[in-house]
Amino acid sequence: MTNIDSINREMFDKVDQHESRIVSEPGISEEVVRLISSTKNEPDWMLNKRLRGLNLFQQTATPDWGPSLSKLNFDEIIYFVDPNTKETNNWDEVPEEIKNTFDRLGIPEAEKKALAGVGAQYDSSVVYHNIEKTLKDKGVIFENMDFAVQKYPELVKKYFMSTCIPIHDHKLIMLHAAVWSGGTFIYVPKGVKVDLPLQAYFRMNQLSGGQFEHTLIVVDEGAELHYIEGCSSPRYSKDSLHAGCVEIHVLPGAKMTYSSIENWSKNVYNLNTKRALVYKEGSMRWLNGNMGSQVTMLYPCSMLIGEGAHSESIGIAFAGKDQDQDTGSKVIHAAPNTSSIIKAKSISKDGGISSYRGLVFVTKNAINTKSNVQCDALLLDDKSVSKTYPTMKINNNDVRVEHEATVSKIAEEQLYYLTSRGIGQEQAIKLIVAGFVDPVIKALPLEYAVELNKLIELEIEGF
Amino acid sequence: MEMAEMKNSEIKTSLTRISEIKKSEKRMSEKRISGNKELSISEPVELFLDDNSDVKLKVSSPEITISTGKNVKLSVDYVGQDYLGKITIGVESELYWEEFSSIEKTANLNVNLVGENASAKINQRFILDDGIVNQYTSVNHLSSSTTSEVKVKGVLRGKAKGDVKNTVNIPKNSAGCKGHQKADILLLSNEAKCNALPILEVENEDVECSHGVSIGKVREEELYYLQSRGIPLEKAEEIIAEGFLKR
Repeated sequence: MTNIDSINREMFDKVDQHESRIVSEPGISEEVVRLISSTKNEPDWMLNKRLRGLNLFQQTATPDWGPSLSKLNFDEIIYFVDPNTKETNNWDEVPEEIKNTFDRLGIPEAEKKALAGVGAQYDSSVVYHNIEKTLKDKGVIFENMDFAVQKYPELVKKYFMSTCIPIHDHKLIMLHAAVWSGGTFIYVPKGVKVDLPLQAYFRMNQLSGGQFEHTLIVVDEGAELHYIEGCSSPRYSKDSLHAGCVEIHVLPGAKMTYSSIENWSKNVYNLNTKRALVYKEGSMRWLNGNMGSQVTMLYPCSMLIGEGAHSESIGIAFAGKDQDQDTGSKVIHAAPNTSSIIKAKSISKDGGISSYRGLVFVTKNAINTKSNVQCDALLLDDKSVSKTYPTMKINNNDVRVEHEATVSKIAEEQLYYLTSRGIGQEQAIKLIVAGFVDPVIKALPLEYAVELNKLIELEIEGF
Repeated sequence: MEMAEMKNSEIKTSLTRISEIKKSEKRMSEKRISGNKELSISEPVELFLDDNSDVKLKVSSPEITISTGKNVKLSVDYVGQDYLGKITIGVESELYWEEFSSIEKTANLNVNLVGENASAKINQRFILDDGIVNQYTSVNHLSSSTTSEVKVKGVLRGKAKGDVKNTVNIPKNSAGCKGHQKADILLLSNEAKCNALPILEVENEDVECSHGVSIGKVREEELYYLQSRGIPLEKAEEIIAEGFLKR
């Protein structure tokens, strides 16, 4: 991610020539679910969870609000692809084709430079995992989710799709419960502060493939963690589906920052669910960038269930040609003295649709709640669309809830100011857009800020 | 992927209520108005305002439909309870809508700005001690250079519940529009509740749109100031609420 000069869409869009070991038939069935479970040698409780998820999925209708999912055919998706490789923690042992992919994405460089641990998910299995020895000594667990089920059964059984995101949450989560594969498990013990960010990269390679990685993070009392996820996929003519799930448990007094840049290719349905359960005095911070996909439906949610819990959500969405970015943020204030901040920025270009869809919910007992929501949208041409749906449900009066939103185009005066000083039109637009997203970019770690800035610049090229 | 709860069953209930109102009403009478007029309207009616007219209406009818010609100035003071209002504003015409209520109600106001440079200024205020107030307003900018400003102010006491939904819609072919919404809700009891959903739907880049919502209680400093001058708590809250609604 540090090698910014070489970043362009082609780099992500390239398909790698890699023979996969086990590829399930398209469509979902009990056989597919059992195949996944037996390949991973899972305990019975996990298989049961999967089968219950499948059962619920088959009984539930596809959601009919937001962007249309009518073209998404669940029967054409390949639900499980196991790359023909074993997990390793030595970069040299990773097969050449996979290494090329990740090299193009700049993962080892990033690791060498600053990041404490890297997990890269290629289709459905994590092929490479590394964590700094010092963290291991402190008891930090950074593990492939599949292995974590075997190695840390107690922890996983307690937190996996239980209190945070139960398997019956909604249609895509039911599907996820049935076919989830790979992903990351992180446990930070009491009082341990992880100074450097941990990072994972997900990549979907199989034609018409689905990616259903599960991220489960437990930050124990007083601990601190910053976790970064990047996501991408090559472009095929067939549509693919990404229905990941991120569950975060922020235990009392803990601090968690979750950053992700999702740059899936533009025929992916990105229907992702991210939620954090924040206990007393805990603090959760979401940083989200959404660039790719044809349809994104993603609303990271913080449930503030302990007194004094805090949530912050900073998001940026870019909708280009044929893209529908339906993103936003949810906060549920369910305890006294809780506070939340939501900042969302969106840019629409070439007929792209970007929507902010959010919720601030304050329960009756959540007295002395403070919430501030700001969303700003920028429209770059007359074909593009911006929509804002911020719902507020306030059930007690000891609150201060504020919401502000704006929709605008690039101001003529600003453009005139810059062009009159000899800056070209395209460069001027880039500058103004950079200024518009600046408050969000500033909140990101350096490498991601640089990458996101570069990606946005590339997206608005051609004026 | 988890927002299904946004489909509000309460919205449905109030819509049923409106369709009941509709059923119970007999066929609307139709009327054409021109020149400088002041009128009171208590029956369902369909009005056409001629070009260049200047009309002030005091309306209590549960159903009202008004269309204007060019260069019309229309002021409406709505004093009834539940209503369904459909207002169509023509070229260079202005709508001023004022509304105040202190009883339970379901208000559904739909404004279409169909002529160039048409504008709408809407002020809706309510104060309620019990029951539900549903305040729904949508403005469609169906022509270029149209402007709208919707301001809602509400005070909820006792077990009152408020549901405020505002929509500004700017379709593809409407350029140079301005649409602003503001809603401020004061909750004076810990049993009072409020839902708010301000929606912006914009399909044209040449636009200036914003909305703001604030929901909260009376500020401690304000109460303290009044109480320290010997005004009892209840009276102090009343004074503050009154000032809030007038502002």
